[in-house]
Amino acid sequence: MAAVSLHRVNKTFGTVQAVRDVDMDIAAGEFCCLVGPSGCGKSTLLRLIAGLEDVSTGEIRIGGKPVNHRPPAQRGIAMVFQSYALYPHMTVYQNMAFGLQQSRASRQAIRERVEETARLLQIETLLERLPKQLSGGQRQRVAIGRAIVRHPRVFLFDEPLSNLDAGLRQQTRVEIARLHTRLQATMIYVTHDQIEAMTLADKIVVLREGRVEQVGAPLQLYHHPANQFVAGFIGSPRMNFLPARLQRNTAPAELVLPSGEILLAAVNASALPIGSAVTCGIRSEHVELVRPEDAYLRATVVLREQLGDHSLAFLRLGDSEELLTAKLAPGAEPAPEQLVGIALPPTHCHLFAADGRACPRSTEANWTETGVSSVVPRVRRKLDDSGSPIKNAPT
Amino acid sequence: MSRAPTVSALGFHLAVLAIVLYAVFPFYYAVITSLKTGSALFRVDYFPFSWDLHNYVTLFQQQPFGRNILNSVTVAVLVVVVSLLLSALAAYSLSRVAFRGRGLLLGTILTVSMFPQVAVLSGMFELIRALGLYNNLLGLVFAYLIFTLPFTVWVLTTFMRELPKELEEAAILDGVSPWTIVTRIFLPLLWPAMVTTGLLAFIQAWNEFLFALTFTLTDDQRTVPVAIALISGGSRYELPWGNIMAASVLVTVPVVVLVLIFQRRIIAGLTAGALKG
Repeated sequence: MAAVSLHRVNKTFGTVQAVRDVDMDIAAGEFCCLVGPSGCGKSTLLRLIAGLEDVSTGEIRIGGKPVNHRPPAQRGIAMVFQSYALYPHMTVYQNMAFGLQQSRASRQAIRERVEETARLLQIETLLERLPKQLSGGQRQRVAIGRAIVRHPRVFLFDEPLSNLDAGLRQQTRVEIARLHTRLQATMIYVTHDQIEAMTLADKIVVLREGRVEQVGAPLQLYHHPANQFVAGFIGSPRMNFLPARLQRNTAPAELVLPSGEILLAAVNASALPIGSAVTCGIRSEHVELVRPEDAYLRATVVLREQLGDHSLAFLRLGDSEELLTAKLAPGAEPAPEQLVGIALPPTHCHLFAADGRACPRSTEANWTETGVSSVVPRVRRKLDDSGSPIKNAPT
Repeated sequence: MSRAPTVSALGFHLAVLAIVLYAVFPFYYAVITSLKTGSALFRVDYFPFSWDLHNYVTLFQQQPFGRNILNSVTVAVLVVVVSLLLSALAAYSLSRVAFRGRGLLLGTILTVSMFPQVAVLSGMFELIRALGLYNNLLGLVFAYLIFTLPFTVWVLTTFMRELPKELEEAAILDGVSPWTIVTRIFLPLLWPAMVTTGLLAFIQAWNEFLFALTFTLTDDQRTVPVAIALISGGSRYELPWGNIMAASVLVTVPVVVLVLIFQRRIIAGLTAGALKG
C-alpha cells in the first residue's frame, strides 16, 4: 500500500499536450477514480503512473519516492487493461505466474501464490484453460488475478469493465469494491462511466482536456461541483441547465430567465456583476411538478420514460430547444402534452458564471440563517399588464 | 430451372480440370520420362509404359548427387534459420520501437529486394572472395540472405504490427526484457507467419541457380539446381534426359512434401492478420 502523488505533471505527444500541469495526491489505500470524456487524458495519466509513457515534465512519486526514471516493473504497480491483454498462448496459470517467474521466485512459492489468488477470485477450476476458452467475465477475473498475484503497492485499472455487458459490469463492479475493502490497496481506476466512479471511488478526479477540473469525494462533486463541466458530467440523468441573467447578487441570488420569469438560487453570487449572463443548474430529482395554477414556471410534457422505481419526464419550458428533465416517483407521471407547473427549489439550484465557474452554494445551515427556510418559497406567477413578472416576496 | 446449375457446375469443374492439368502436367511428364530408358525417351507417351529406375541409380553413380542434395538441404535450412532469427528481431524493432528513420530503413530494405540478381552478382563475387567464402556453402548462405531477408523482415514486421500493443505492455509490467518479449510472447503468436515465410525462404534458397553457379567451383560444393544443369552424358552430343528428369523429380518432391505438411499453416499464416491474436 503506497501513496501516489503527482506534481505538475505534463505530457506532450508531438504538438498535442495530453496532460497539463496535473497535481494529484492519492493516499495509501485510497480508491481513486479518474473520469472524463474520451480524449481528456485520463488513460495517458494512468500510463504515466504505470511508466508505460515518460512524463515530459513534472514528478511522480509512489510511496514517497520519485519513480520518474524507474521502469514499470520496479514501481510496485500492477495494471489491468481494457482489453485484458492476456497472453493468448498461455494457460490461466501461466498467465498469472509469468510475472513471478521473471522475479525468480521459487517454483513452490509461485504455485502457492497463484493458487491463493485463484481461490480469492474463484477461478481455481480455470487454471489449465487457455484465454480463448474463457468467457468475457472470466477473462476479466484472470486479468485482475494477474495483477493481484504480484502483490503490488498500487493497482491501476484502465476501463476494466467497458467490454462487459451491463449485468456483468454491475456484478464485477461490486466485486472490485469488495476486493478493495479486502486488500486495502491503493487503486487508481480510469473510467468514462460516472456511475462506476460514483459507486467505487473514495476520491474522484474529473479531467478535461488534460487538466484537472475538480478533485473530491463523490458526493462533494455531486452536490458542490466546481464548475458547469463537472456538474454536467457527474450525475445521471445530466443536470438541467437554464441560461439566465443575474438580477441580484446578494443571497439569495435572483435570476431572470429569457422568457422573463424570475428564479431564486441559494448561492453566494457576490463576485458576479449584476446583469451578467449566468447559467442556472438543477438536477432532475430536484425539479418538482406542481399544479399549473400554483406555479411560477410552466412547461409542457414532451415525453416520459418509465423506469420502474421512478420515471423521467422531459419538459419543454416556453419555446426553448433544451428539454428539462424531471425525475418523478412512480405513479406521479403526467400525461404527454399536459401543461404542468414547475418548482425549482432555490436550495437545490446551482449557479454558474459565463466562464463555467460555480458560485459557492450555501449549505443547508447557513441558508436557514439568512432567513430563508429550506422549504421552497414558491414564487407565484403574477403578471402585471405589461407582461413582466412581479415577484412575490418569499413568505 | 434445374439445368442452369448443372451447366454452370460443369463449366466450373472443366475450368478446375484445365488449371490442374496446366499446373501438374509438366511434373507428371518429368516423372514418366524419368522412368524411361534408351530410345523410349524420345517417344512421346502420355502414360507410363515402363517402370525402370535405372536413371535414378546412374544419377547417384555418375556424380556426387547425394552430396549435392545434402548441400542444398544444408544451405536452405541455414538460410531459413538465419533469416528468421534476424528478421524476427528486426521486425520487433521496426514494428514496436519508434526511432528516427524507421520508414526510410523499411524502404531501403524493400529496395534491396528489387535489384536483379545479375546486378549484384559481380559485387557479391568480390565480397565473397574477400571474405574467403568462395566455393564454400557458407558463401551461398550469405549470398541468399540478400533476397530472403527483405521478404521475411517485411512479412514479419507486418504481422508483428498487428499484435495488440497491450500484450507487450503487460509483459513490460511483468518485468520482462525485450529479448523475452520477442521469444516468449511474440514468437509463439507469430509462428504461423514464421512457418509461411520460412517455407517461402526455403523454396527460394532451394531453387536458386545463378549465385550457386557463380560462387561454387567443385562438384562437391554444388547445390542441386547447378548439379542438374551440369549433368553431362557420355559425349558432348548426348544429353542425358533420363538422368536430368530423375534429378528434377527428386528435388521437387521435398518441396511438395513440405508444402503439403504445412499447407494448413500457410493458410493460417496468410489469414492470421484478419483475426485477433
